[in-house]
Amino acid sequence: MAADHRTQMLKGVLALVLLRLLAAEESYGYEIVRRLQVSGLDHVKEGTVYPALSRLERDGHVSTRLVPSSSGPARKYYRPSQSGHDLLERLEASWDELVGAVEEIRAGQVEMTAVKEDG
Amino acid sequence: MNSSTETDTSRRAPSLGDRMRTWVYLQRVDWRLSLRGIGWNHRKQIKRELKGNVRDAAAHEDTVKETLDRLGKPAALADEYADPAAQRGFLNHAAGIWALASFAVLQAVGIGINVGFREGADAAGADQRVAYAFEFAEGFGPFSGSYAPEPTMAAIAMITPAHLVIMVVAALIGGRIWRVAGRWVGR
Repeated sequence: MAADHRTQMLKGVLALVLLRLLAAEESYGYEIVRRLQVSGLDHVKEGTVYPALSRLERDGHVSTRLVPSSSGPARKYYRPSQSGHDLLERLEASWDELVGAVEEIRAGQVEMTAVKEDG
Repeated sequence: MNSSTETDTSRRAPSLGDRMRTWVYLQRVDWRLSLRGIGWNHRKQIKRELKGNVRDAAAHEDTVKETLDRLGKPAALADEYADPAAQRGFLNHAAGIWALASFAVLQAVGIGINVGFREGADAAGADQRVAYAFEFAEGFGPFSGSYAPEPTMAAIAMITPAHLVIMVVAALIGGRIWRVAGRWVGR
């Protein structure tokens, strides 16, 4: 159940995570999965990552290039486009805002009395 | 990083069984994608990428079977790929184009039959109005008309119930009705 929650939560920020990884270094599909796993997101499934990459490409947030592989089809390497960098900036700002708000709630810093007064 | 990965990937060549397993899986994904309105080119691209990723994963750590298991069920994977905008309704421009095209073809065939009939009537020496009908049922159409040599007059039934039925069928095909239906039955 906990893994389910983590998967659902990660889905919401998957674009951010992928763009951040790709901004650090261009990668291809399986390598990106490995990098996620190494980062501790080992429950992320390929079946979620590959379609997410496909959507980023479709929306023009990543550019791609094919690199021939000796063992099979050419690999598609992804890296953020200018639009991807812009999106990453916006997503990170939203993330910071969200985390800040959630942390405040978790820390019990939202005064119920203030909320009641507003109401 | 890239060069080391290339080397690692070439450690194991996939067996015939693994290739078949991958092929079957990709065909199932392809079928599900087609039901979700994804075009042939995009499907081909998705399959090629998945094939490469499966091969990379299998070469690194898992068997092909484990890799495919991790990719999930073909229907679920296709859902992930499906663009909601691509999951269009039945009424779209393709349906209209197919309906109009079928109408144009019917008219062209109808005119062709009429011209042919006229030539035949002239050759047979017809001296009064003659009529013809190539119909599924009487009055149903699609092809009927007449020709009168003096004064020269040709008539063609341009729209009949058969025309409408054929146009509707063409629209269903053009609108990829099976994709729309597939959203319910393909799950």
